[in-house]
Amino acid sequence: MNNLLEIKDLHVEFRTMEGTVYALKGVNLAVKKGEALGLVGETGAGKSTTAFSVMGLLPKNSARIPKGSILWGDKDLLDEKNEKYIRKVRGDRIAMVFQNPLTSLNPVFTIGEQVAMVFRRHQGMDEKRAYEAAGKMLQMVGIMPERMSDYPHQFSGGMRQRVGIAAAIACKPDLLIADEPTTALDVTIQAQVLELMKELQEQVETSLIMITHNLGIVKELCQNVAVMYAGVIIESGSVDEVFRNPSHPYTLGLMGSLPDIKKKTDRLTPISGFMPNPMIKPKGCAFAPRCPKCMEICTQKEPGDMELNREHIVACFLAREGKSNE
Amino acid sequence: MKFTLLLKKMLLSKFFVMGTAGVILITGLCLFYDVLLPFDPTLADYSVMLQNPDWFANGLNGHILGTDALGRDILTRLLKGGTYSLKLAFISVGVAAVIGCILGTFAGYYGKWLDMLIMRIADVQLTIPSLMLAIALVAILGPNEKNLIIVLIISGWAKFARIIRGNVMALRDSEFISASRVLGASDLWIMFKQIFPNVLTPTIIFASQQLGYVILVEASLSYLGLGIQPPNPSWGVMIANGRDYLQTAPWIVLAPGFTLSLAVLSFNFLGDGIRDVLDPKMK
Amino acid sequence: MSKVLLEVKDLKKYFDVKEEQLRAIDGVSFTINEGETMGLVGESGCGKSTVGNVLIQLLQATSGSVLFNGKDIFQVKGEERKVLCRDIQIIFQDPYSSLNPKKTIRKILSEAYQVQKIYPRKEIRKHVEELCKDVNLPLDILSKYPHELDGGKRQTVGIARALSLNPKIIICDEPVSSLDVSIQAQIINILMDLREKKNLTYLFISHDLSVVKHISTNIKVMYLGKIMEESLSEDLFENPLHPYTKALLSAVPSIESTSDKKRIILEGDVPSPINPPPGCRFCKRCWIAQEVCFKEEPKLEETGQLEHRVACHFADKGG
Repeated sequence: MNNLLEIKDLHVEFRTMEGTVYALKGVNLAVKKGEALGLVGETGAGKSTTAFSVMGLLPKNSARIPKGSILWGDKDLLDEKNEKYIRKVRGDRIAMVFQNPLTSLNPVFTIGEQVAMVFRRHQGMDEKRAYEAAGKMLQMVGIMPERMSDYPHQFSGGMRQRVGIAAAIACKPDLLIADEPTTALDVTIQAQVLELMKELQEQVETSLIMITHNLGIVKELCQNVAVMYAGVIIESGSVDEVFRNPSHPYTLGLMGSLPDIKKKTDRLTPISGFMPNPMIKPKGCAFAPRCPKCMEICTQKEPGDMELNREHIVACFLAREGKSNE
Repeated sequence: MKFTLLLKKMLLSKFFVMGTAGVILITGLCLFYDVLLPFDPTLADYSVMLQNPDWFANGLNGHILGTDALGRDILTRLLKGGTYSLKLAFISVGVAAVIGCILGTFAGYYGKWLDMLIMRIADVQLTIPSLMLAIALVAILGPNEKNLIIVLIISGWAKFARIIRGNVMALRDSEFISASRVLGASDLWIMFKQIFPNVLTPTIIFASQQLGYVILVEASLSYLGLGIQPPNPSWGVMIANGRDYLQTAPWIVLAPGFTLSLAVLSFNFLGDGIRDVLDPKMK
Repeated sequence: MSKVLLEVKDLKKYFDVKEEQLRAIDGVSFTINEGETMGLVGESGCGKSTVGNVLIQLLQATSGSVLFNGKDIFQVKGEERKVLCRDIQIIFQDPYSSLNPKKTIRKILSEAYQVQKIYPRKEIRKHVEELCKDVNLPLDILSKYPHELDGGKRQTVGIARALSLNPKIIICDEPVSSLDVSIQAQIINILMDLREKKNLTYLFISHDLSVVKHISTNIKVMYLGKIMEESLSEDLFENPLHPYTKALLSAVPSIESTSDKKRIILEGDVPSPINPPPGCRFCKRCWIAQEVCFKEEPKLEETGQLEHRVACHFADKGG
């Protein structure tokens, strides 16, 4: 397996005043070199939590990782022994682009300075060289050198997001995690940013984890997709396979509930019910209460991962029997 | 907020617990002083002048904290004085809060000239130190309990108005206010039915903080002879009386001084505690 | 023959920003017939939300008129204006800020009746419960506070509130944009069911083309305060004529995209409606712009197709 990143059975909990929130309940995820993976799910599924776990951005006071490992190469990013290695990897080899371009840039530094900072910190460059390198990076994302001395508030959302991307790929990371980077942008600007990401991915050969709830974006940008629900990955595989043959009832439900500009539908079919309370650890499948095809075993045991074929894994007892499409 | 969660938050906040304990202790003792203690706070008894504190040597019949220059039991005077202080504080802060709320709401909601008018008056008032203002007003109106309350209200409303105005301005453009307008609601309806419940929390928080402050102002005025008049006791008056005996009978000053500090501290803690419980975001 | 419910004539709304003029709406005219759902789409700064706010009179128009059942709503004052509130209502975008956090749902839904006094006090309770049934809300929700509900339920309460006065037309200002994707479908379905049940007319404002396509009968595309193209729903998506519409449609990612799709990527940013230049608003980003586009503003003109009009000097208007 030449996996760049491998998340194994990751469990993440948050201690709050109202109780413990079980955010991730055993996530398995792998990304290869050069691959673009779409991580899909609704709010609360645990996508951002997964990203933050990899980046070490979980809130220190309340987050606990009782189980699981995040392997980068052969080292576990969660193992405290590897602290020096971890600090080197995060930010340099693994970078992140955040959802809100307004708050993820420091308002008191020019964009040129902010991108240059990345070069100074991770590649030890001196001020002059770092600033030059920043200029080149910003040009690559479509921002003219004249604007390097401007401040974030002087840019629009789309431009700021480009700056964020520039800062993230400055060190040519092996993996870029993008957390809903275009959700806050207008549609035509979103198209620009996605096009940019596609180009950069090809040029720099960076692997990408694209976190989004927009299946269209996944289809256009990614080769593989992983669908998350209530802290676990319930279906994963190649985009072609999964979208052509969705096997988990949740994936089916999700696809039926989204209006698509190219589909002709009379009525949307929303998934009834709500995402379960993350403070309760359910017995059996987390989706069972909402599943139209729920069977008795679904409420008793957790369905493990099952391979439908080499490009398609589902966590569902029904899929196991090959009947979920009926 | 659910009751159990509220209770949990209350118990978690050290400020709230200490503040409440202090306030309950002081208020309780003050309210029931005549049941607990046998002495008359204003009647002089020259046979027992300047006695040292017995502490609990004679139980509740002895002079637990000693007597003053006129033989009056200190503890009794302390607690009776407390009733004046507390009564003044609650009434004046309560009324100032109501006036400040109403004026602040109008100022914040309508803005423009009304806002400018009300706020300029408030500004002028706030630039004059409260104590000086209080002294001036008492000098004009005369030092009795009623006037004291009026003075404290006058010097207090502006602070409420300012805070409430700020909150109202923040809420004024909220979507739920627009929603009310769209349903045909009048301005007065919106101000009192929609905005008011939302400014209740900051009002309560600020009021509890003001209580401690007002007690201090009253004590200061009484110390200067402009507040509660003798023979009625007040912590300020007691401190003033005890000035001459600082070397010989320090407990006459220490008792009210300590209680005053304890009271102000308790109310301040309570104010912080209420803020912790009701609005932890507002640190 | 459908009855004309709302007629907007040359509506303009300008804001004074420091020394400059922000032309949020710059001469917009349209008609909405009874039973229609008119979709109004565009990106940030196009003015679509401003149109909604001006129609509901939360903002005052700079010029132009809006006729409801033949009467100019801007000229109506006092008690008559209060009555007008019963006919035109709005559903706000943000379910988190459009409900008073200190009030129970029952109080929120009762407000319309208390303010308008159309029913005696003892009957208000009954009407509020009927509202809940209309939108499929369980009755136990009435004693809850907004923060106890999720976004979808809150927005449903917002819909119920808009319905409470039995309006003829409801302005939906991005009603699902702040909601999670799986809940969007529920809300859209509620809106569509109500439309049938109560014979409602909608003005549906959104930046999400997929949603607008699903719910609207006809669509108008706005850009920088003006309507660039308008047509029946299906027609717009199958046969867009204005370059902006084409770019907009091509920019929407779809699950049915194929890898050989050629996407139109617009250069530059969505510009600001402050002091717009003469000529076509879109000329700076348009790839087929010619000299005339920078000088003369194109008017909305008929094309060969039914109810399809476009404002462009070079769009193919042939029949």
